[in-house]
Amino acid sequence: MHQSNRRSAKRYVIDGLMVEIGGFSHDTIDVSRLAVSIVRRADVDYSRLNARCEFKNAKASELNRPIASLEFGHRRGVAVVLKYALAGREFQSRDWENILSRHDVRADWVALEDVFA
Amino acid sequence: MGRAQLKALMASGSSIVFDARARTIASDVSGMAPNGQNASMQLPSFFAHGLLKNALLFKSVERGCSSDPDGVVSHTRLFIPFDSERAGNGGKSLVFGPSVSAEKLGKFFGVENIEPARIKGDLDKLALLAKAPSFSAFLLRDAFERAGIETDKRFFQISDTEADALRENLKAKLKPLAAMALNLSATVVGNAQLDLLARKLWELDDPAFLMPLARALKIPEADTTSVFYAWIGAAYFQREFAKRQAKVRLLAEWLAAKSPFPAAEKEEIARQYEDDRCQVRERLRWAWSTAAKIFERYTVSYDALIAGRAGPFVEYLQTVQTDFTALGTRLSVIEYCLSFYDLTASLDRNSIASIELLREVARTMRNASGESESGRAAA
Repeated sequence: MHQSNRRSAKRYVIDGLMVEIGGFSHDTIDVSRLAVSIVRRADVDYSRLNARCEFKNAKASELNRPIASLEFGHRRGVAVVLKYALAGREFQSRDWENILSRHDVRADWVALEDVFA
Repeated sequence: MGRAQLKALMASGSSIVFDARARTIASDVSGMAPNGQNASMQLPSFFAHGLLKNALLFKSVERGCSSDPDGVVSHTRLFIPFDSERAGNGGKSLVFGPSVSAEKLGKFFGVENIEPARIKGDLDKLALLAKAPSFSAFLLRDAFERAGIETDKRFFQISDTEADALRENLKAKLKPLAAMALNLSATVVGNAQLDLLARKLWELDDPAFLMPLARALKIPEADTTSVFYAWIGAAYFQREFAKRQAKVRLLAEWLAAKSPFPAAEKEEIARQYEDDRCQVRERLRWAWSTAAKIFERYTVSYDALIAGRAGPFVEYLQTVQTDFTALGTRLSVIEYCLSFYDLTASLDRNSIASIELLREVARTMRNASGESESGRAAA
C-alpha cells in the first residue's frame, strides 16, 4: 500500500477504541482503514510486532476485530502510527470503514440542510 | 410578547422558557419515575426567596449592541405572572443580565431593602441563567453543576441517564485535543490514558493542565476555560439544531404555502397575513442558514484537526465564543417560530387564533430584526 494512500485515507476518532498488542493495551488517537495511531508505551518494541494483536472496544462489539498484520509506520510525538490489515474479508469489502464511520465521534453530526429551497 | 404567544411558548416546553415556579409535575418528566410508573410529584420553587416563587424566565431576541455578526442580542427576561395559576394571562417582566443586583430586583418588585443574605443564592442563579445562551435542559443542568450551585435537577427535565449519555458523547469529541495535550504536557506523558485527559478537558478545572494546550492553540490565558467551554457548547448545539431540522422543514413549507384567503376578500387582513408570513419566514430562514454556516466552519476545522492540521482549528477557536452565543440566539428565534407552529398546525390556517398568533410571532421577529412597526407601516 502506498504511503500517500495511507495519508489520504479518512481518519476516525472512536471513543474507547484500544489496540491490544501482545497483551498490552493501547489508547487509539485516530484510525483509518489502513493505519492506526496509538499512544506508545515504553514497554513495547514497535519495530518487532509479531505478537497477537486486536482492536478492542468495550462499548461496541463490532469493533472487536483480530488484526492479521501490524507494521511500524512512524512516530509522531507520543504517538506511534502502525499500518495494519484485518483478518477476514471485512478489510477488502470496506465494511470495516463503514463500521469505523458509524462509531466516529462525528457520527451524530447532521449537516443542516437548506429547508427553504 | 402577546398572550397567545406566551401560552404557545409555555405549552411547547421550549429552550427559551425556564419555569421556576413551584408546581406539580409528572414523575416521568423528571426521569425519576420508579419502574415506569406515571405518578406526580411536588416541585418546590427553584428560587429560595418568596419574591421569586412564581418566576418564569424567557430568552428574548432583539436588535442591539453585541458581538453577534448580525447585531442581534439575546436578553433574559424575568416574568412574574399576575395569576400564578394562569401565567398565560399576562404579568410584568424585567430584562436582566449577569450582574443583576438586589436593588434592581427590589425596584422591580416595589420592595425596599431586600436582605442581601437572603437573596444572594438566587442572584447567583439568575446570573447563571442570564449568562447561558439557551435554556436547553442539558446546557443549564451542566452550567449549574459546573458552577457548583445546588439546584433541584428536576427543573431541567432531563434524566440522569440522558445527561450522562450526552456528557459521554461530548467528552468523546475532546479526544483529539486530549491527544494534543498529551504531546504538550511533560507531566502527563506515559502515565495517563486519553480518556482521563478528555475528562480533564471536559471538567476544565485544572489550569496547569490546560495552559500548555491553550498556548499551543493560541488561546489567551484569561479566556482558556470559556473558549473550551464554548467549543463544547457549540458541539452540543449542533445536536439541538439537527433535532429540530424535520420540524423546521415542515414550518418552512407551512409558511411558503398559498394564502388561505381568497383573492379580493378581506383585503387588509390578507395583506397583513402575507406580510406576517413573510416576516416569520425570513427570520426563520436567517436563523437557520446563519447557524448552518457556523456549523460548517466548526465541522471543517474539527475535521482538519483530526486529519492532523491544527491551523484551521486554531483559527476557528478565535471566534468560538461569539459563535456559541450566536447559536443560542438563533436557536431562540427558531424556538419562537416552532412554538407558534406547534399550536397553529392543528388549527385552520385562516382561523382567528392562527392569524393572531402569526401576527404576534411576526411582531417579535420584527423586533429581532430591528424593523419597527411604525417604520414598516411608513414603508
